[in-house]
Amino acid sequence: MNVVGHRVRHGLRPFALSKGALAPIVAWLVALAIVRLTGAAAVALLLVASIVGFIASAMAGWWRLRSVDVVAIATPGLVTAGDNIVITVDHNDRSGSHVPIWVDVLGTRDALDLGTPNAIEVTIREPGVYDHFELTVSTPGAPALVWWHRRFSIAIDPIYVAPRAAGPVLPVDKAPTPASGSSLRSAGPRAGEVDGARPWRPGENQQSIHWPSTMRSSEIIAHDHQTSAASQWTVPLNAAPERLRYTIEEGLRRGHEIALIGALDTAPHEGLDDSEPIPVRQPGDAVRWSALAAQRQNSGDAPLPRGLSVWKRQLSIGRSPEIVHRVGTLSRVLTSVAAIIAIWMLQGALQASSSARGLTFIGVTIAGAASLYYADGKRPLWTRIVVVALAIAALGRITVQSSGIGGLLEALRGPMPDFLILLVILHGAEIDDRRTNRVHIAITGIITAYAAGLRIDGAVGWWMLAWGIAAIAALCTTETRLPSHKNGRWESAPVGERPSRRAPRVAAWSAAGLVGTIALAAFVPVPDGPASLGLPALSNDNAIINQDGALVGPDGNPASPNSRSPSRGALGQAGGYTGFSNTLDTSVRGGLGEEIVMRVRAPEPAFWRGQTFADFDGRFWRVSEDVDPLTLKGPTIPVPPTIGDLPARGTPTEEFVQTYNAVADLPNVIFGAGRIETVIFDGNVTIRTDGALRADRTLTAGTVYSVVSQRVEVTAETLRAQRDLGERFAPFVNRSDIAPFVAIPDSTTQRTLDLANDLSVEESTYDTVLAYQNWLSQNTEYDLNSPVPRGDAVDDFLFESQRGFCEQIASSLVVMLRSQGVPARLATGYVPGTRDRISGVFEVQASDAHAWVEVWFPDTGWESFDPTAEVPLAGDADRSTVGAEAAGALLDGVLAHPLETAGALALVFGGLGTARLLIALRRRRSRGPWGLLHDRFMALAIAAVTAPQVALELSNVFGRESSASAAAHAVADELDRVAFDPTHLPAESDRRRVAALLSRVEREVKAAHDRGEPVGATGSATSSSM
Amino acid sequence: MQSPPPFTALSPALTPPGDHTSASLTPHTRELSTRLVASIDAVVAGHHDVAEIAVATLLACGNLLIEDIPGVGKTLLAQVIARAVGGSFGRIQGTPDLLPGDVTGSMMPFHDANGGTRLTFQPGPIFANVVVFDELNRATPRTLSALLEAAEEATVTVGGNTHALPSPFMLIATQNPIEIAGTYGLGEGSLDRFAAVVTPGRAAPEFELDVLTGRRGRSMLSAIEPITTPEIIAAAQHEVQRVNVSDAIGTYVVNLLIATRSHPHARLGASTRAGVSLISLARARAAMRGRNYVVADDIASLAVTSLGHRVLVANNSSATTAGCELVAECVAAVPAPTA
Repeated sequence: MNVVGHRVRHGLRPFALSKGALAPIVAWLVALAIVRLTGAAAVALLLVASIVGFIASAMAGWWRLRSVDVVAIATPGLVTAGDNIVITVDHNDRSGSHVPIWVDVLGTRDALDLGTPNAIEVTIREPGVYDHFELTVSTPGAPALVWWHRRFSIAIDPIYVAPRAAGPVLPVDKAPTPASGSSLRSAGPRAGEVDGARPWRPGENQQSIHWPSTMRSSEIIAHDHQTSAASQWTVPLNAAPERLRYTIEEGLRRGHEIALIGALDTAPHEGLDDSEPIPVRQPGDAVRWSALAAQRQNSGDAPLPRGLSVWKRQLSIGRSPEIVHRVGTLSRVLTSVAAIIAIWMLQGALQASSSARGLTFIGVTIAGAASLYYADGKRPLWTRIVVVALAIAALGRITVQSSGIGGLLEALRGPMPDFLILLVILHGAEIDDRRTNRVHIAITGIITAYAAGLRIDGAVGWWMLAWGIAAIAALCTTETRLPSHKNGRWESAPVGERPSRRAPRVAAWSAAGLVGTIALAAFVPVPDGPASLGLPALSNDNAIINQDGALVGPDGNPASPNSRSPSRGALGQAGGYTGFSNTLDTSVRGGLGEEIVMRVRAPEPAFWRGQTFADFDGRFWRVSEDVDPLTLKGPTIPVPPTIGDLPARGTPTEEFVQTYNAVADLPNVIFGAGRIETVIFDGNVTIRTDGALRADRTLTAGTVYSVVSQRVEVTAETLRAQRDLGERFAPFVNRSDIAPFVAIPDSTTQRTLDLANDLSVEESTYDTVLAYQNWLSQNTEYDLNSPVPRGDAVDDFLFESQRGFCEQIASSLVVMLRSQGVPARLATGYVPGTRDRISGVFEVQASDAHAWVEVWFPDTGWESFDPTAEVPLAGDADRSTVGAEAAGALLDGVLAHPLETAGALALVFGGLGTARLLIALRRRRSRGPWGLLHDRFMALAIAAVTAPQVALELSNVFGRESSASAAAHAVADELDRVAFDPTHLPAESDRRRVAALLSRVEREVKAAHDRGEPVGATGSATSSSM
Repeated sequence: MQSPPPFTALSPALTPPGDHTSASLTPHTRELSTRLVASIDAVVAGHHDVAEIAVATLLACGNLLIEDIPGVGKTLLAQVIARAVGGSFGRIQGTPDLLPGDVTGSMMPFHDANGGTRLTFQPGPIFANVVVFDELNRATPRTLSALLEAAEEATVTVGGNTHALPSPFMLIATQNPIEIAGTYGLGEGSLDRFAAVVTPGRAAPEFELDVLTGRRGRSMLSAIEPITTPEIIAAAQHEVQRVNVSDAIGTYVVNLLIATRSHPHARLGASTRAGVSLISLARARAAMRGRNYVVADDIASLAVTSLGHRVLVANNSSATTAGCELVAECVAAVPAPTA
């Protein structure tokens, strides 16, 4: 056996992708399209997290291999080309990881048994002399997506690889053996005499078979007859190597003396004279010399194949080196879990029934079980037929349903997702290898992204987290320790307990992944809204109102435009608010609950405006009579600009897309922020001259519509630059379209006008507004239970009660501004509500119903002001990043629920700790105190079977005379004595003494490890004999 | 090389069994075996392991087969054991024309004092304490069976009379596995009768130098003094049988035997006799180390020697090396008993 000499270790590099590894990348691109279409921040977060996941997956192999080193290899010395030989590769991998490392010698890929020297069968095809091995160690790491390898070039004592012997005998120079020669067989056997045995050659006489040898060796052995008297053969070296070998072996078999003549560049015996014949006596020399001859022959026409390089020639990125294709049960189950989570997430977005969810669960489970059941064998034809039949039936149903144009839309909403879900479930039954499994995980990723784009509830973050954990776990359990021995059935039992550091490693990877995700996401801005192509719209056909432009409450009762009292029935409902009727009583707020009425997906907060009022009589705001309402048919409705909506040319604007999801029944008011340009609504919309939009149906729960607005990027500077609006509008106040916005009620008191005059700021209406707001906030109090005003509501609020709610505050501000000649109106709608930072959706509660002031700035259009709600100006709003939002959400969640968070963490870690503790306790009970000591001791040398072998191994490392060696032997002796001596009853003091000795040995071993010495690395081959 | 004093000094302790506990004897067995091993080491260079196994086989009342290429000191090893033990020594050379009677002895005409002639049993070379049988596989199966039966049962039956072999009795056979022309391979049954098969192999260069310069090797054989007597050996053998074997060790051996039988490459696993023989060897090894109990390491380190030749490996024609590898795999796979 050869022992290693010089060793060259090359760098680590990635070299191949696993099969199906491109599927996650494709899924990522699809998810990117989804984030462009829906603008869902949650999907953006998912994208960022998956990038971090990809990077971690790609680096996992590097991480696994970075410290793995091939310590030694042992090979046989004389080999025939094409034969299987066994080499032993000793490596220093002691990480306890369950991911196998693959070693490639001469194209024979084999998994290294972890922690032990590994015998690998290789075949050398090319004859010659090899003085170093090129060895490639590779692994894809736990996620098994990107393969990394490291090449080692290890010098060995030369291996002589001879060609297979092939006749006929070379023309040799036969001479009688010199009488005075060195031969001891001068009186050799005569011709015809039986002289041994050799393998039987086809076509030979049966008489020649030597039956005893044949029976013994299970191959046919024939007598070898002496054909001629012994003589000396002089064999030329520069001949065909296979014939050279045959000739030498044949000559030796016949008892001749062999002498080789000729020249070789590299002779096994250095310093030989070319002209001198070289005597050959052993059959091994035939191998050696023919290998040398082959080596020389090869060196003539090709570069010397000194190193055996396979990868150099076969290297190709993207070619999967995986040889195990089977999917493990754990991985398969986790994939099913990921599929169930993803589909349930999608079904949640589609508001599927619980029975559909149950069917999904059953379907995925059956598909997973089927794929596991048929993983090894060939799956029967009928399963394929069932799969295809189900798919065709589902497709047929869609085809029938979508025969009409309207039906197609229906199909896209209803059966199409069902069909996709069915396909995913059926695909689950088709998983039979790792590639399909990875593709399936990627498909569930697409579904998750799609669902995250659709879902508007706050649980989307948790759903994504659950899917992510399941998917990563499914990927990471794909490539684990090979379950059984190479031979299959026969498996080695685990010996003792080996230390495993898996749990801390998983925790460290998870924490690093979280930090990496948030850090990367900190550079990704919150998506600015969906592309108009994919804006969703969905409404209820049953809630149609026949009268165009009429206003109805959420209950469907029309409100008369002239009614002085709003519909009380409407107020009783979640979406009811006096601001959504024709008349707004500033003294009525109504009991608005905390229920969520709608969810709005929008990149930034804004006022969701429903109505505007211009006519005020001191207590009631009234919607003006609309003479010429314009009704347009959906779904895409271009909204013409109304008065005051057009900003001056050159003013920077931005598209602001909002999607409104009605959660409660709402009146038929279409909400929108800023200047509405387009409404995507599944129905007709009436556009009033005052800019308000009304649908032809009530917006029942589940209704979805989208609004594309132009928002002028207003800043304080642009508003201040428009100076005093009173002066600018002074020439036009008598025009019929402007007059309503500057008219003040007759009941307005003088002290109101005086206050407005006193507070107004010269030359800047913007500052005037700020001054009014400032005064209001200082001198009045927000109070939902303010008394009903007597007389003029504004006067009463400003000077008498000084308590009021937003309608009174806003009314006062409008009147004060109008007294300065500034056109202003009252707007009603909702404040932005609370934003879910993961899904990027604003949750609007019933109590978020609000009234505020809009001021007509001629250059930038209507601008909202509100002394109570803090909504920044459009131009000042800074768009946040996904990472900041996610980190903020995380931090807020933790800060808001410190006890719950601590409790959950304590529960998780406590559970893990308890599990470990229970395992340790169970082990302690089953192993006993001495058994535990024994296990600790056995862990010091991995390949050892018994305690004395460990001691022997340690004394080989530390030296026989060292104290560590003595301590190790003492420990081993005592352990054996306790185990096997029936007369020995160990006392507690004995145990303590042995424990102390063992601790000392462990310290020595650790110190040696720290010094880099391979303690416990080699097997105890020396102790296997006696 | 100074030969150690005869071991007889310790003989007073070796009173018949039953008078003392095994704990009091094992140190003497240890001393005895240490000296035996030392004397073998003094002659046969660089094969300490083999010497230990040979002595263990002696103490376990087993027979030893030395299997190796020519010229590594097989016969010398057998001779030095015979000499060191100090009993009678017999030597047989295996040839195809060797007859059973040449081994066991036969009835020979004998002229008595009265001038009459009668047939008297003439003991063959097997009637010795240590018998060296060279080139075992060159003897015919007929002779082999006579030899091995005699070795197994320690008796020889010729002409209707049964003659007991001397006690202690040890057969040391050698064979050359390479040159198989004109040989009769040993069947499984024959091999099973050997407690241990050792393959010394070539010695390391420094030991080889010792042999070439005459510091060790055959030239030293004459310097070996018998260090003990057959009686002491017999007593020691008796004591070795009293070494404790716990149930855990017994279970371990059974598991090892089962593993050799269920190994995918095994055509025929180890027999029960193999297990008995392994336990005997392990007892001897324990006694040689001064223990009166067998530990798992005894079994693990002797399993290959004791079981390797008793296992038939499928698709493998070469004699015993494949079996040794198989047993080594089994030893690595079967968990050893612990405290």
